[in-house]
Amino acid sequence: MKKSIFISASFIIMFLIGCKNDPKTNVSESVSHAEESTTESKVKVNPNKDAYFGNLHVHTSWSFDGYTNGSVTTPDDAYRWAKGEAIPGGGGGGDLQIKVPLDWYAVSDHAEYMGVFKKMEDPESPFSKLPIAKRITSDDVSVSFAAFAEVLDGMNKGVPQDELTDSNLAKSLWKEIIAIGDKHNEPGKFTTFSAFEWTSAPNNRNLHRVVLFGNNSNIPSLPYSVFDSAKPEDLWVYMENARTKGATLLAVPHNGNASDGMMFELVDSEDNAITKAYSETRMRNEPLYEITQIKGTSEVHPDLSPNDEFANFELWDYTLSAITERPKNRKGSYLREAYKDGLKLDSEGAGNPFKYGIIGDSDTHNSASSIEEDNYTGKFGMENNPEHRLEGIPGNKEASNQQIREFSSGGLAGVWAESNTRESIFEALKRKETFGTSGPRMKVRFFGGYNYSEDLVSQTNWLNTAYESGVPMGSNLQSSTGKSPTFVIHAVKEADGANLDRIQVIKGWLDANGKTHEKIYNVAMSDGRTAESNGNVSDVGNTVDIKNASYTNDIGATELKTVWTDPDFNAQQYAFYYVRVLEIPTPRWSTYDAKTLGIEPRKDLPATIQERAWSSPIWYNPN
Amino acid sequence: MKQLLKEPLIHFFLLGALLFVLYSQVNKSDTEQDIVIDNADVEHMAELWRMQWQRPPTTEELQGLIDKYVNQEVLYREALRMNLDHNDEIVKRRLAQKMEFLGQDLSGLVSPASEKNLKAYFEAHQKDFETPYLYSFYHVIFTPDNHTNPSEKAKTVLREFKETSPLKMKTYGDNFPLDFEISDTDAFFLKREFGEQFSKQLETLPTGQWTGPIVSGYGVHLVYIESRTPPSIPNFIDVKDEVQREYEYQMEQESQEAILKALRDNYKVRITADNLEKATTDELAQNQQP
Repeated sequence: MKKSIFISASFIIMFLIGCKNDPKTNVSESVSHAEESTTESKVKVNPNKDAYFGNLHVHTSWSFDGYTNGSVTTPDDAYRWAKGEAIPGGGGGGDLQIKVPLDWYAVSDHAEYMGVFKKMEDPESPFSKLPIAKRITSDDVSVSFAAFAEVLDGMNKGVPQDELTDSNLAKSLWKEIIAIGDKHNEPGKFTTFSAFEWTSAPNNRNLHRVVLFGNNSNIPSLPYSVFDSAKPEDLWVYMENARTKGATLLAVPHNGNASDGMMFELVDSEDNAITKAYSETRMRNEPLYEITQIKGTSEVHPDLSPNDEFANFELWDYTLSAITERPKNRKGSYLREAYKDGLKLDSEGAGNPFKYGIIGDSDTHNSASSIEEDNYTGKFGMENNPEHRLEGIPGNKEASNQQIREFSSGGLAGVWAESNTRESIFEALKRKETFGTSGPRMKVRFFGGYNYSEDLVSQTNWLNTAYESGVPMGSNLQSSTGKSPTFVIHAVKEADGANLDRIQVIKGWLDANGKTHEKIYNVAMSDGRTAESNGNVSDVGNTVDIKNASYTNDIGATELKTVWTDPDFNAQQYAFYYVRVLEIPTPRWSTYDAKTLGIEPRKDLPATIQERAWSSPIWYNPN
Repeated sequence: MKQLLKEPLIHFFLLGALLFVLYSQVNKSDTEQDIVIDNADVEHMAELWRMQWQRPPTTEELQGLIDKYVNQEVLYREALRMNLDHNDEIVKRRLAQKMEFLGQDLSGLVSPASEKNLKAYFEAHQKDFETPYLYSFYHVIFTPDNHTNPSEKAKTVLREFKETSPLKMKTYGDNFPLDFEISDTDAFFLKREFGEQFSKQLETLPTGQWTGPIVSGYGVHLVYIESRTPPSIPNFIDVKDEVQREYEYQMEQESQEAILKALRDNYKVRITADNLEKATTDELAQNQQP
């Protein structure tokens, strides 16, 4: 027994020493890692840009909730997984391995993980609402823990304050996370970023943001957590401060669908009207929005856009409450509506606080963003088992199990960048030359201008022209001299994925009476289909064999392309345009799982889905 | 003795002893009922404040920080005295995890990433560092979008223009967003761009001539392989960073396991429960939606 006391003692001492020495001398020192450029191999540079696919919303067991929910993997494992290695999956299931590796990846564990030790006693803290098991089993007190308490009690007196204890721990973990990312960063081949998640959810309304660093120079020594503040405005102050000290960073909010109207509310956190300064600050700090992820898609809800026949896609209609509460407010929760609100605010002189570019992402808590529908392994470690995913986790309430079944497999961020490097990808994220997908690696190009010729996409060098005489996704059109804008749109399927059904342009605008509108145009279809006079297009069909969870590419197109001119353009109206590309129907992950288990797919879940991609919008401002 | 020095647990103890000595050197004058706030503490509080607010605290704010610190310290010590940390699931998990971190740090001491160790690891795991196939080639594509029978179309084009110069062939394929000329590209990348089966087929095709058709995820291709470099074992020096990454990862896992095993050996684990079966169907699992 003596031995274990000694071990505990030595361990605690080590920890305390770490606390003592490090911060007192270096507390304001920023974590800084020189960008390594050891690779002699040349980095491919394409001025017309390539699509690089990755995720920036990835948790590991180093996130507190990842740990409690059965994840056994570390940030190191996460990067290994993204590069194609098999990693342990936990949860009673096998290893996790992606079929086709990703181009870039960023582990973004919860900042709060690092402070949870401190906050667990605080009844005001959201962490007290987590099912922190406070099982008091009186007899079986481990002797080594009694020893630990004695030692800690005796030794702790040298610690300046217990808050510091935590920030030290946080600092060292944060440093470690940064260093692990650096180890895996290989310019030209695989890019990593340092990131964390700021986890604000007032009353379980999701306001979470992932904060991503463009490089590892001048990174603040501590991530910002909800314990610092639950208001996005304060997070932006942290970010601006970091920026003045030389850091490059941006934030990406997600899950408006779980915010019950708070994500895109038309007031600030203090209920004041939105000002131009607010809009500018918001957009300077968070240029992108995560349109889809495991906890559902927040492009649009059928209640808001009843005429959108494809609106009912992988919705996840819950708040973050543990008792499966439904949100009440659609408005303020979905991106398309926010785009429309943004036009109105802009026209009223308040700027546009919702001028978001689009990415898709994961939110896995088990290191692997298992975006492949036929290779889905769940959000948490415990879901790494088809039986758990589909028939429920033993002991869970049925409502919680249903939430798990309604999880989507998560999405991907597609980034148009010159090369696969931190600098190039981060710049592309900043300028919103991005698109999101619900998982497949289809590639979407989208340009707007006034001088594109109708046959441009059939020319061999059309990309040069597209860039030269117009603007790419995520940009503003120049004001019109009366001419209607023309858009160059191109989509190609994932190499080993499903064919494409159609390309749609979604337009929103503000009329002279200050009312917003939306319209969906079907602009390119597979299999020779054309739009009827009312704009409708017949279904592409469905080749899915549900029992065998398979499909064929006998329908749909490899590639869709068009040059489209807005037939309803009004040069006086604020407007936005974004592209949605649909795949042909394929089996949902739950259908693959049902086949694995040899059971019928559940009737309360869609057996097939039409996976999709969304481009960042192109905006038109009449002034 | 040499064997003993490689034993992670021994290092564990040695390190503990060392730290114990170090600790007594830097320990402050706080005793059980004393809470001392010295210059260093104040400096530190002010610095933390500055980090967050970009300015030093006012006198009033500093007083507030000190009060908060004292209150926390008092409550913290009382909590420990009342053993409130005992059997708290979070405390347990966190400490267990910190032990794991410690185990990882230790691996660096037990098996440092020295040149010698890395070389030995590289020799023993050469296969893991093998380079993938490397290609330079030209290709044209025929997709089902443009041809009812892309494979037939490709065959026809090949028959007719087989002898044409590589560059001329470009005009006979579809206009598709893949580069016509692919140079110095490895199979790893090809797999991502063209799909799994395409790069596999390249391994056996003849070089220096137009050949095919072969299939990708997009359609049917004719290919002119200029050069194909088969996999090879790289020089140690070229992959040293990678070797080190792998080595440290493996050593961490191993030392972690060794420590855990050594520690576990000190315990007698008896499972007296007889309700295991019942528990596996009824036990309440935790689940949240963060």
